[in-house]
Amino acid sequence: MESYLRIAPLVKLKPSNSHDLVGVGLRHPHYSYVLENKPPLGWFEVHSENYFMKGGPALHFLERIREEYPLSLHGIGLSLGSADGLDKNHLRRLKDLIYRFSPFLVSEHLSWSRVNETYFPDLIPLPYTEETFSLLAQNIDEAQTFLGREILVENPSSYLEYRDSIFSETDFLASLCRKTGAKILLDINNVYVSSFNHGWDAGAYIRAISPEFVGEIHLAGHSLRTFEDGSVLRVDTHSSCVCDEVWALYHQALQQGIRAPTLIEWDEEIPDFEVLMQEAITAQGFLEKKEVAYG
Amino acid sequence: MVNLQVLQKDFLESYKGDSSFENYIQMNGPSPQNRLSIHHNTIRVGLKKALAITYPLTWELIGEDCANGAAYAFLREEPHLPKTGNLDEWGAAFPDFLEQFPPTQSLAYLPDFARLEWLKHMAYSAEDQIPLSAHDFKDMDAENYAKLLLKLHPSAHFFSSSFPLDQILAVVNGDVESIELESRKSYALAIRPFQTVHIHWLSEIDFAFFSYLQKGDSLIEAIEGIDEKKFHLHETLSFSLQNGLFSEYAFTS
Repeated sequence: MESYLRIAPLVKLKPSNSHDLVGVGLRHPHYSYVLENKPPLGWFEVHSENYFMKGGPALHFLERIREEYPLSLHGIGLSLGSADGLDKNHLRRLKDLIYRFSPFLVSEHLSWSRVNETYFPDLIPLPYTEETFSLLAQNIDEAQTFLGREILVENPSSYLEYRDSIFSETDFLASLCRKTGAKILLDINNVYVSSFNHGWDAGAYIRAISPEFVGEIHLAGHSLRTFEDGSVLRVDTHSSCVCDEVWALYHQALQQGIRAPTLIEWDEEIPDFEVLMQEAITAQGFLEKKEVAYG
Repeated sequence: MVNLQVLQKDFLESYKGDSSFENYIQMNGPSPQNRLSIHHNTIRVGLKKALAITYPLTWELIGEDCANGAAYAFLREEPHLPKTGNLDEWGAAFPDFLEQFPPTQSLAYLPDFARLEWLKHMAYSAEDQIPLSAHDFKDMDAENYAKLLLKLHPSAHFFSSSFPLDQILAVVNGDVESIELESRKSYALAIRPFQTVHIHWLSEIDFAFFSYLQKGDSLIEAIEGIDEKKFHLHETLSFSLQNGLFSEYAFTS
């Protein structure tokens, strides 16, 4: 990573073109730092459900930070892929939060988390079938109609594929965008993780994404899980720096014309804010088409 | 062809130990069992962490290993799993579970300690309201006091226990090194008038007085409901106003 850090200078991260905004996922250990230091970032993103409460310090901090920065709301609990349909109460709380904070982006995941009134705090993959497509199109349409705005749908990190899937993930996402008007939140780390786990070609995945459908980009780190039988899966833990392979895929995405606000995510073993800032500066370097070194 | 509703119900069964969900998974490198275990593990660890965030003092009191063990045992029972994606409101049943959990059953005070911590958690995320101060009452005619209805702050939660939770909390906070547990009750108020949650320890008589106010009785009805000889109205109201206990007032008709 040092090669990137040397090349990317400490630049202002508030370019005039909103597609070139670089942001960071805001987590509570950094509230005070952000308010005191006002880091030169284009925006922040938070997990919507962490602010569903009626009051308290978290909302207070977020309001103060929102006064200074554009904000994106990234949901992890709406469960767009639930066969049971959407949780209306969850949707109502999200709408209240949108009203309160006027986010410039609202996103969710191509996954499911809730069945039989049991919620799993995980983004469980869906089989890519006709039935799933119809259900997702209906649920996305319901969410967008209720919220009165477009949402973005993130490609998941997946650890399993279903025997009965008949569509590729990229075709499935593109068709959903055409059908619902939703956009893709292209998580490039997820592309890399899923590609490794299933033997996909990550470069081909990025090439299959049409730039017009992409409304946001996520970058994050992940970890390796080695099982007793020696098999290995990559796991989307958001617990480390973005790896070189993911930076290379990001570069590829930019080269093929995908331009969207880019976010650095970090959720486990959260480091000092300066580390996130360096990751953001690296992303900004790519966006400004500076020379970059790979590997 | 797979039915999504059935597949999702089968995932729930797989979380409880049934292995048939593995039949949905494409064979390709790592076994379906290993692939599925990533999801089961993410769910268990995520929910355990959510409990640890809600009950940090309980974790401190019984130690991380014991608390994690209790959390994982709690999560094995389907009724304990969250119903919605708002985890901030999930976990209220954990103290009751601690009462039944064999390794912690001997710690009779533990469930009440955890119940108080849940109320502290509720106070943290309660609706914000600016509490009343003495200034708000300065022009009030004394004749109106009898008709006064004092609405408690939305973050105010009261709790009584058969155990001296104040002593136990002092140990957890490191205020004292060790204690000989007294055989007495304790009465607590968890409240967040502004940005910080406070725990206040109340006398039995003040606890009773506030309980009357909480159920909507007027000031005079609350005073009539308790033993006036042991009650110091001025001190109790001063304490209440200093600690943001009231958020609104009205008058009975």
